[in-house]
Amino acid sequence: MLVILPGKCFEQKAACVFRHGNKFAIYPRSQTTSNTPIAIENQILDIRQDILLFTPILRKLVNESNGTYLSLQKAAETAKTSDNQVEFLKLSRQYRSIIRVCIENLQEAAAKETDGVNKNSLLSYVTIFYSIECIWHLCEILYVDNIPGDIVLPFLLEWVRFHFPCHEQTAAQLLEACERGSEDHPEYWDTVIGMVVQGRVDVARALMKLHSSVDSNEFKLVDNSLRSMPVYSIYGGISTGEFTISWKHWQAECRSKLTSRVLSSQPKLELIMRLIIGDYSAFESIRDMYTSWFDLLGGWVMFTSPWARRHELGAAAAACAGMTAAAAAPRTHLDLMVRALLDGDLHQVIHEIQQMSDNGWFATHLTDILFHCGKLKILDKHQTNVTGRLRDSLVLEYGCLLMEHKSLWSVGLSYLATCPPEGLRRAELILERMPLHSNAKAMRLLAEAKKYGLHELARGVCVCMSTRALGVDGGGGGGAGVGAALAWAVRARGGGGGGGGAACGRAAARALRAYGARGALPAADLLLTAGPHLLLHDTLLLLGKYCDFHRLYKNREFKKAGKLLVSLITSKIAPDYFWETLLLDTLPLLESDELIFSSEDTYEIMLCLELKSSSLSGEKADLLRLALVRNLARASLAGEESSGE
Amino acid sequence: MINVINTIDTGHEDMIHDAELDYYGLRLATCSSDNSVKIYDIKSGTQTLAADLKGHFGPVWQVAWAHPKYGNLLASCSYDRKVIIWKEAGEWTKLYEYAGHESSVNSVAWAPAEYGLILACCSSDGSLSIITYIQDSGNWDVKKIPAAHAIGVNSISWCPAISADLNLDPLSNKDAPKRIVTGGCDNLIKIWREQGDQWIEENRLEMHMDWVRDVAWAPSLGLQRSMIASCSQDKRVVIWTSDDNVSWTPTILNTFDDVVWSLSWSLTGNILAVSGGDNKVSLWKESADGQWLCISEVAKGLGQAPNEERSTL
Repeated sequence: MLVILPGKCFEQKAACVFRHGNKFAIYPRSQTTSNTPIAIENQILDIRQDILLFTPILRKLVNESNGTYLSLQKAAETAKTSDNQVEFLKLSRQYRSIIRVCIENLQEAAAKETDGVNKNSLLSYVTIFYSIECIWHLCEILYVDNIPGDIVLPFLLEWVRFHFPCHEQTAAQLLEACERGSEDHPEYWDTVIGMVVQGRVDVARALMKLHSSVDSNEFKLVDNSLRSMPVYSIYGGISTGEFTISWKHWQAECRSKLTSRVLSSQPKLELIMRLIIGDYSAFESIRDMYTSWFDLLGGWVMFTSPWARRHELGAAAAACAGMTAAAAAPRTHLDLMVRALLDGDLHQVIHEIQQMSDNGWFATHLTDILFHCGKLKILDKHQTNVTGRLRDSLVLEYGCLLMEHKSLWSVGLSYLATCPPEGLRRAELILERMPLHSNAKAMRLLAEAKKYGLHELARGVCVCMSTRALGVDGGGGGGAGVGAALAWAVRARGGGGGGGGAACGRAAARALRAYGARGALPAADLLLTAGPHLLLHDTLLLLGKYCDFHRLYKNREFKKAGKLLVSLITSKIAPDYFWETLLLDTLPLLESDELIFSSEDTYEIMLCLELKSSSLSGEKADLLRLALVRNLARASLAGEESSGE
Repeated sequence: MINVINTIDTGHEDMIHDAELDYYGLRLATCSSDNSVKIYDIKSGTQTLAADLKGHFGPVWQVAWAHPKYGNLLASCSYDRKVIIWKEAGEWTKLYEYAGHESSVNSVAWAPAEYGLILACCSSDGSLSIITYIQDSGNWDVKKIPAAHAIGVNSISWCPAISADLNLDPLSNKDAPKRIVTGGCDNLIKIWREQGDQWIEENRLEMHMDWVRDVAWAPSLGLQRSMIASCSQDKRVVIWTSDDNVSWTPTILNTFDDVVWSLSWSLTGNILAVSGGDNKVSLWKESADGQWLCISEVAKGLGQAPNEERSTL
């Protein structure tokens, strides 16, 4: 990582403040003051680390591998009780096919791209993912797949052919043309030899048949040797011991043919014979035809120890890697990884992979699958097994990285959730700071929080949204803000537990005051359907019931409305500023044609009126007193009538 | 690869002393020797000046954003011995002013939101103040801790609510005692615990050989581990760890070439940014085996991190 900052703004001391994840800000900071103001360019730099995975073209890779990762976690769960190696292999292949699709997309995009810089970066991505697929494939062969008898040669050859398809095209062309005298083709011999070192003996023989002197003794001799090479097959019915004996016998025969010098007139055929007896100097002599030693690895194992098991590959790798004048040339990263892999040093492999600039995608997913396959055992310097910790730390890192992206965050969350308890705690820390730009964003955050049981977070989001809605309304605008604040506050408590009560109270109080000021109740429909949520806070309960009173009154159900109003007055839950409203609301009911309040009710209202004289006094109070007295008279008469009957 | 995505011209007429991003990282507050506090909206790569707050009569040392569930609140502290809490309600206005210190107020920090709206500040007069908003009355209650550090207190930081008492279940525990860490001119770091309505000195951590400039309690990850970073004039940064918040083990992160002025933990506490008098900001990360490694260095001119040549295949 290299950072060059404009020099001028750092005449002063620098300091740093973190934003989210890959972003931070640097500013010139000073702890001291001077007597004269120092005129400097006071700039703050917003700095971001570029994340390869956030490139839109790689979105598919991130999303699809997430699906495979989650399936793998499930498979790992079942693997605890039963052997699930087949499933792991399937998932490993799934990962690889995702990478291959990704490489294809990148290549396609690179072909279309006209801008040189962009094209180059696309091509560099291709290189990165190409290496990833190559390593993953080898890992799969060596650690995920259950190879029958542990004889890796066929798989190794397949790997070499797949990833280093040298001469393949020429071979196909030559065979298709099927012309005698193909040796005139400039790459004829290179192709034949290439097929031999890739272990494609049949193809090599077919090509040799196209040579004009195919009928010569020399050709027959080599063809015969190639044809008679014993090939081991686990299902062939012979033991490895028997196979080894017959193979060694075959090679001894080849060797004696070679020493008889019958091939001295045909140096290319001689070279082929030297290769198949596993002659080191022969391999060395053709090394320069290939860009890497991997090309030769399959052939080398095939002609020196075809029965090799996984753990014996390290020596073969060392031999091949050493086969070169170019040994002095700098080793590539891929070199180091393949060597470490063949040496069985997975710790080193993972260490090397972490240096790749794919932001941990590869290291995380590969380590995870190896961990679940039980193939990873990493000890620290105290010989404690830290494999689980390594896997967790990679998954956490990767998950946190994705959390920083404005639309990939839920993918990141799914990774963090697979590393309890630290993963979810980290998720919480990041999620609660996720900007809530809109209601939709807040709702989405809420849904994800609930999915992972992050109830505290969900409540926090609701309370913040509620507070914000009140803030919007702070200027004295319409009731929309209060309504939204109420809705969010109620939602905060929806999940149970504590926390949203205060927010409910705040929003409800604002609504009551708004009613006092403007005479309109916000969010009436919400309140009428809130049900048990009203019990969250006294003020909210009052607001809800008061709303209900309005509904009854509008529906001309005056008796019920009156009863409700009296209960609101007598319960004394109303805040002081609302008493005037409550008391004055009795007036129309007192004055109605029908008798609404009984004498007991009237007494209660009278009592409250006197107790709350600070809330209601003067002309309005007198008016109410008069109405109350008149109502009392009516009620007494009505009472006498009914008792007299 | 690192990119400068944005440059914010603060327009301060004198040195900047602090810059803090709000909870969501959408707003930046800065303060300066020109006595002012400025707030910028930095949405989508552009920045606009949202407010220029004038109310202090001396250099403003530090600013701190409150949790958004209490609305948009910003606290600032100054050489003029005052702490001001600003509130945005349409416009930014002064909500509360605290003038209970006899010397420069050097640092302010809001308590974890779970505890309510509480602000802690510390001063060159050697004392600390804990200012609590009382919801019911709408008043602010002040508790002062006198003579906390001799000569003066430079920095203050709260223990995250979740790891406040590590012996309890970290996720459900609410009643854990509140803790604060402070660093002072007596070369000491002190940990304070609330007990009843008192704040008592619970611990003093001795390691630094000169003034402690900054202390920062790391965010909690729900693990049985608490972490504090401290830096000092003695050019050292020390990481203090504890599994019970009572006994603390120091690890020297590094000895730098110059005085280390300030520290900043990343959101999830896995990276520590250290800035010093040598014009450098370095980022440190704890490896799986507990070693602290420098993962990046940002400096005037050139900076370099290990493994540069290996970053691409």
